[in-house]
Amino acid sequence: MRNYFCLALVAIVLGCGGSAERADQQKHGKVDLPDYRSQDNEPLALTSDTGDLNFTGSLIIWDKTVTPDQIRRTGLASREARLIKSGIVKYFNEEILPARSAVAETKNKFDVVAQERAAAVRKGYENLDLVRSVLVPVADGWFAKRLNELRAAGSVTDGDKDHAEKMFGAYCEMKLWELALSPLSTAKFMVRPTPLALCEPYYKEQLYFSDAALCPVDIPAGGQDFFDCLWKDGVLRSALFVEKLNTISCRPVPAPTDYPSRGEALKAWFGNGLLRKILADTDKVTEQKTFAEEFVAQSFSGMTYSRQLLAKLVDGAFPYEDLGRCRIAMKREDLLDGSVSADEAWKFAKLDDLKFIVESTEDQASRALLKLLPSSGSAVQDGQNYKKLAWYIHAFGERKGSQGRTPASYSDIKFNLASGVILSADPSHERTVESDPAFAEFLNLDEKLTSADIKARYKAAQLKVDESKERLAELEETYKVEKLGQLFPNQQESIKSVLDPGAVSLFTAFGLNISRKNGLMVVGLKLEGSTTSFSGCIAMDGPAICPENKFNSDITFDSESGRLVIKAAIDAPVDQGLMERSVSETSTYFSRINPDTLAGQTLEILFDLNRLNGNLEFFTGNAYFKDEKGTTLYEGSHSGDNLSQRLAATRDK
Amino acid sequence: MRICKILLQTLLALTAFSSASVEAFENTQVLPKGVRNLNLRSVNTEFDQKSGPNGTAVPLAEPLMEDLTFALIANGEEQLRADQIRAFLTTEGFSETDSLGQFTADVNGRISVFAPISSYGLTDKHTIALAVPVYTASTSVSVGFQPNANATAFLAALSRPENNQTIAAREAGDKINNAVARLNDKLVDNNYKALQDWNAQGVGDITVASKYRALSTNILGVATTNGVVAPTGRKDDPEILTDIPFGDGQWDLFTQLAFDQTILKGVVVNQFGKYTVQLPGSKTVRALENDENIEVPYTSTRYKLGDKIDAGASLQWSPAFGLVSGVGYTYFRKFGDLYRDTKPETKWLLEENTDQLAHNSEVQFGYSTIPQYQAGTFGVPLEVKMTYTRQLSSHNMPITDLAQFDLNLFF
Repeated sequence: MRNYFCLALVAIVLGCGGSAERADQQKHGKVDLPDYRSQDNEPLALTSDTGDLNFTGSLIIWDKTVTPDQIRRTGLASREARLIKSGIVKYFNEEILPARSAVAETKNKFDVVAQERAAAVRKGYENLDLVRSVLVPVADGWFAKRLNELRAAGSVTDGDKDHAEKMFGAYCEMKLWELALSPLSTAKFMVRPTPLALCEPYYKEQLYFSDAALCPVDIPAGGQDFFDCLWKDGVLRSALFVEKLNTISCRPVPAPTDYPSRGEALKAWFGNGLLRKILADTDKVTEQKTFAEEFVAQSFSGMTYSRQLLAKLVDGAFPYEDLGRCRIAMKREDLLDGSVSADEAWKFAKLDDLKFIVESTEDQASRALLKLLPSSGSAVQDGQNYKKLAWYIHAFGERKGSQGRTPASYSDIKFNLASGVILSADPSHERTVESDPAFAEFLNLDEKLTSADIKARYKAAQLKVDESKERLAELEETYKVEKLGQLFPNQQESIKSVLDPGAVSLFTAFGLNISRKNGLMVVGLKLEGSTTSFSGCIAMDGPAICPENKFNSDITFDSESGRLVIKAAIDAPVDQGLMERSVSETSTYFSRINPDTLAGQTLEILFDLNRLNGNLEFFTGNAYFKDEKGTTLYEGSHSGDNLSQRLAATRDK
Repeated sequence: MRICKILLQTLLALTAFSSASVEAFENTQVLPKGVRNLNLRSVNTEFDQKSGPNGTAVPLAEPLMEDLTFALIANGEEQLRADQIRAFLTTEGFSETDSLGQFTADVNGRISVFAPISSYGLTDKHTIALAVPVYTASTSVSVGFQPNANATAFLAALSRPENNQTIAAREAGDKINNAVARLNDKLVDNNYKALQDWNAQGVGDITVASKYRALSTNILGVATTNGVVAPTGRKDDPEILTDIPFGDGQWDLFTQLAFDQTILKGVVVNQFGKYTVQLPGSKTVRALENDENIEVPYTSTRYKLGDKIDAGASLQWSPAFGLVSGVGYTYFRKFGDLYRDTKPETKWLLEENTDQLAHNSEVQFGYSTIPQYQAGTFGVPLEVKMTYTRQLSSHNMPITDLAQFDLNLFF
């Protein structure tokens, strides 16, 4: 038996093998984890002190029945919106801004050439004979000539023609005042300035600027001061100021002993603009009360006050041959309050009407002038002729804009060029004038005064300006149509996907403001329609400490991933923008969540901040309504960007 | 994740090989009355492959070599999150069936059985036997994961600035890079054991058999064997994916008919056929699903494993000087298992590929002292045999050869 046991033992040993052969060790492949930084390797939106970021976003809370396709459509629209907006900013930065810079650059280059050209023109204007040989013939008698043409064409009657001639005189009177009250009145000129070249025949007829002592023809090298010429031999003799018949006896004494000091005093009033302001602004007497008390009684008002004030000043500044008569003339009530002349035809012309022509916009002035040029009444189309006449006059006489903001009429500019002052003319006026062949010679004056080289460079520079403007216009059109134009369809698609039945329970907008300054990050979140906002603060670095009791939400921020988390208590759902509401005609925002179910819960929003294509800060993320145990009651998604802030920042560039 | 029991179907087929011998070298011989026999049988096998339903060889670890698809990822998430993933996939042009990578795996197994089979001759024609197998089994498993271009593209898509999901991309990347650990975590979370090496030792199903020699002439012998297999062996542990059961958990009844033809002195041709009825049982299983086999609940099921047919033929030469030798062929067939009281999807998955078929060739060498003992020239009647079984082909079976050692002691 013992042998059997030995054999059995051998059998057991043979039968009990070892362990299974070890399995071949399998490899564990790895994928590279994407970096948090965006593809252009720029840091995320908030890794440095970026100042204020103002986002607008939209929040949706998914319905329990939402399908993957509904999520896909909503997400796709959101993504498309980001790409579109980034494209908008990119296009603006890469196309529009450079084009604007190109326009500015070409314009600067043009200005250099233009100044060179202007200098050449100015030099040419020193040849007064040449200037006058061109300018005077064009202006002289043009109005009468054109009126005659209209009459010959049967567009106006003889009565209309006579009336227009008288009204034109009234207009020329106002041009005289205009120049006399303008800063140009104290400038030095190389030739006697004219209030309006077209009016020269009228002024000549009225004997204005006829005193050779006051209005010299021979001008010294440094230019001539024509202030006294404009006033003593103009304004003080004008129909608006004194009665025609008494003009001669009311002439100022030619050489008063105290003239220099009084004259300088009067100039000073012009220099600081106070007198001009008083004369132009008839309703602001009260503001000038302190000043007025020194000169006139408080019972005066408006234009009457202005006129009285001027009379006082003139009275004090210039001695008159017969001061008593002049005073009477100056204070005539009918002159001050009613017609501007003894001439019956001028009774229609009120002071304010005439002044309105000078100080109003082009279109308003044209209408006002038409009132002064009566129609025949038999043919409506005659009005067009008057209008055209008004345009021509206005083209010479209008001051750009209202209230004389750019105190230069076309005629002023021509004289300014001759006197060394550069001002820009309104191109539209140039076109108006150019349309009349009578002015061809006049317009060619500058050309005559410019060399071929300057002309070529001026033209080339002008061409480049035009080309750059044209290019900018094309780009801006593309920007508007192709770039901004993508937003609306995308918006519609977004709304459509959100409103798809069963997709979303709540849809609203919100504003997110992130301010990172002085080591603190302060976040404000405000839902659309809310009266209160969620706010939080976190100290980012340094010794900064968030002020206590100022914020109502907890925030955390991971600077590496760019994730910002806001946890806010919902204590007043309706006030906080979580009211139940339906889509209306004016708003697509809605909520089918009973706000009572949200009261006492927590709103937790995860913002993954990023920057797209290096130009658009944006965020996406999830939002949760959680109960006190942290259980998610509702879950949603959101996205937003700072396109508005971006565009606002670039709009001024 | 669809990881079914890696070895269950494979190894249930092996559990029976050690008990009532099913080998080609059957015979109709019985013990003389009053003679006792102790057969100390030892069987060893190693395996790392199995045959599929069409007979092709596949690695034993094949169930683990699954693609990690987007669908599997989505299925593991909560509903809304899963829908968001699906929405993103569609937007980015991915398909749910796209793979992010594949799990790689290698599984090796080894079984050693020591089975003392005791027999006793009740009469000169009738012998009874009892087999008590003792198993020593172990498995070794290694699992890896190899991400593919889709994984890289998926992460890139997530992290593209306009999608702005870099955080999600990094989380997904981390999951991919730790796919195996996450798989094990998932298994543990669902009450499975993590995939790891396993070993165990224990008693298998005990067989009691009765053999009756119905005919015995100089040229022909006929015997029948009937028996029962008791479910004493260690059953499959549903929580361990790499274990090896030592028994199938229910009672079996079998009957066998064998024929011997003596064609020359010491040369015998044998044929046999055996039918095993596996009686029904009940157990708790995982309610498997097509797309998910881990995060599934338990379910009780009634089942009946498929009946088995064994048949074989051999040519044996046992000359007078004690040599024992032979060559043979065996056929094995098991019908498919049947499960009840489970949902159709689970039933289908449990029953899938449970029918089995194998063709084996065998060769045997040994030495017997019985002739010398009968001649009085050797004092101890014993027999030592080495049998090598080579699998010629199979369906749904482990692809393995068996090395069997028998020491027969008579007293």
